[in-house]
Amino acid sequence: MRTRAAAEQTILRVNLSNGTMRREPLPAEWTRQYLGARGMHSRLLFNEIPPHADPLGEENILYFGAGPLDGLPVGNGRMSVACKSPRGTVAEGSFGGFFGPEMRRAGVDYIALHGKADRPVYLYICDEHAELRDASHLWGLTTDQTDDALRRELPDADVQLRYIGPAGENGVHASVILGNRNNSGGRAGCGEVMGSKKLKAIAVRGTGGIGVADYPAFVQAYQTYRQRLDLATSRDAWTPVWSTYGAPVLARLFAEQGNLMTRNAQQMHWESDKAVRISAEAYLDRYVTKAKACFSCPWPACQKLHTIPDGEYAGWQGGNYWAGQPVVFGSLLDIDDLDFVLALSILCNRYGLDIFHVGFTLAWAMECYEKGILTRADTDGLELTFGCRDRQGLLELVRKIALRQGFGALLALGCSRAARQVGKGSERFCLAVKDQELEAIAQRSFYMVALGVAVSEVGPDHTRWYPPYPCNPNLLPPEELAALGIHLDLKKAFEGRNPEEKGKLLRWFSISRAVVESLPGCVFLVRDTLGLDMRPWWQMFRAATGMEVDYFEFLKAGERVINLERAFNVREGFRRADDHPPYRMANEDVPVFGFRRLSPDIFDPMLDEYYDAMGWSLTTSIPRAQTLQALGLADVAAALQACGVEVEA
Amino acid sequence: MSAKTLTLRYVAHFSTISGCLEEVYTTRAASVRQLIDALDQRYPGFAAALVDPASGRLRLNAAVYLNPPAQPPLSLLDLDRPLEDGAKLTFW
Repeated sequence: MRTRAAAEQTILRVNLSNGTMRREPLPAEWTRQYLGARGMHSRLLFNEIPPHADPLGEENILYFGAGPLDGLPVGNGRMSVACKSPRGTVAEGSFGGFFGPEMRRAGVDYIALHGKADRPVYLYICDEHAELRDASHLWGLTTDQTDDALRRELPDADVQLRYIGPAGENGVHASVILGNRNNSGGRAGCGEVMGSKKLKAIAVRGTGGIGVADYPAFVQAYQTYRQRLDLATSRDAWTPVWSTYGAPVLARLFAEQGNLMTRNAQQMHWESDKAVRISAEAYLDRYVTKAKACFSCPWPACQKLHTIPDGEYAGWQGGNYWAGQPVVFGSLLDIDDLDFVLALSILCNRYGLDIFHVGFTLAWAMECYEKGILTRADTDGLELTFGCRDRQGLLELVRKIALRQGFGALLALGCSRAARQVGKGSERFCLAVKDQELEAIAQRSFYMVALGVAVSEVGPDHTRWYPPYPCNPNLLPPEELAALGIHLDLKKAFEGRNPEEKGKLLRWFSISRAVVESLPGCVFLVRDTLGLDMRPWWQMFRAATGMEVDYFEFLKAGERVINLERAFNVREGFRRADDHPPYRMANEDVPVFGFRRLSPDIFDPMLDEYYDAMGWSLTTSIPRAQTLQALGLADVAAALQACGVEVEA
Repeated sequence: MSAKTLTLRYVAHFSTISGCLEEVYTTRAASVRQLIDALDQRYPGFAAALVDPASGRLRLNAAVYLNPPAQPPLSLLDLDRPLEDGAKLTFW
């Protein structure tokens, strides 16, 4: 297999209904306009999935995509998966590992999966060769069993895999796609769509290389990037902590700061001794067997492999204890036993379940049980209390969610749909936006997070705007920020509970992160000035592809991505009323420190500021015609109007 | 100067330097800077991980979070901020 230019972008189209396949180049100008990965997917989704297509029908298309920097040291193995979500919105997610670089080495940058197979299959790609293989023997297997079986079947150790578990096969709404046993992505329903297509897995092996157009310029930009992320030279307090201990360090910090969602966010403070028991430090002491970074990541401690050494779950193996697990299986459920927190997480990965879906839906059910809305007659006899004394029963419930059995069938719907079914006021305890469960970061103390979660086109997803606030308001002076195209007061933006500047800050974070996810790079590495000064990313893109692109034209790619994703949702009927925090966040004050609810006087001005900064209608949230025109997306305005959508001038 | 009782919490590498995750600590330090100096006596290397020797300011790759009694936490930028009895500090 030859060495390919980084700028090449080829799509493999697979028709699962009739088994045909073809490779075709994507238009060269699309690399300039949308970069790759998430950006390319935004264009493909809008162009190729018909309005109001059945998400589980033949018309929905599931895309896997890499991008021009994938396979190079800065790409970090990130890749995008996208389709129309069963919730009606865009479904797009990013995951790490090694699959993206392997796709590129096989000469495939995107895989578009059309139609539906009539029996379980998996897609095998090896350089120019691609074929659909029978997967009847894999159907019903958990993800670790699937990984084992495929590795026996495809003994080349460099084969990279993506697969679903029983949850995706059974149509659980928030099932995810996994690879490397522990890397998951596509929580907005991509696993469910993959299951609906009877596609169990994709295996890819490539032997080619990726060449950069201007090697010295690439190395120079790469050195700047690495310096920003180095333990010693980074000007960011997060860098040494995350690069050595990983993200779960946040739990202890948040527990004391009124930022830790506890007992379904009825409280926002957790006792310190409980937080210590599930802390990153406790995790490192007892469980970690190996650091396991994604492709070329400079922060090896970000993800790790672990084994529960003894006790009830002795020998259970998993990986990736991030900031999410201590919240969704710890404080949110009031469980301070790290063995059990890890067991829940491992079980979710085995069944291909999204941890946020499971954690927030269990927390909703526990609050319903606490308030007498659900009883043991509803829960298959399980005493579903916070703290959960019946641990075997709770693990069994997780399994039932994946298999949609008994009480698990209700929870498999996710908390929004389950609450609509149960009623009795239980909707007030449901922590979801656009029918997708929240994630780990608090909203009533980080206003930009509340806004970002509310407006996200895919539902709550912290990667859309990470991090929750700029790392240091003094890092770049205002005149330098303005020269970089950032017109906001960074000091005000840094203040978590000041609504001012949050709309403008979110606009910048959303656009710049869309750029990073389209190159692709890892949004968790936008530390130091890498999330404000995008020139190192721009320089690496130019050096890799050889494309002469102006800095501000480069940033416009991110703006196009957000507008295309918004336009997709608008076409499906989503409007301003859908960009709203959950009931609890909007109507209940935080019971510590006097943090206020996100009442209209706080939330609405932030939302107006964001829409205004984005060039969208304040009343409908629809991108204005002149905004789309300026981005070269006049065809999108025309397509919306053709569907009867009123687009303001 | 009266003695103050503080709750100190050490995150990640600071827990390695101090050898504990948190402790209740009594001190006569008037400011955060003086507290850091006192802790450096107990835990050699503590100050160097937090304070830039050239400027005397908090390093840009370190953070101190201060919870004054019953008040919301704040990310501390001024090391000369006075300490109150009952405060909680997190070294990050």
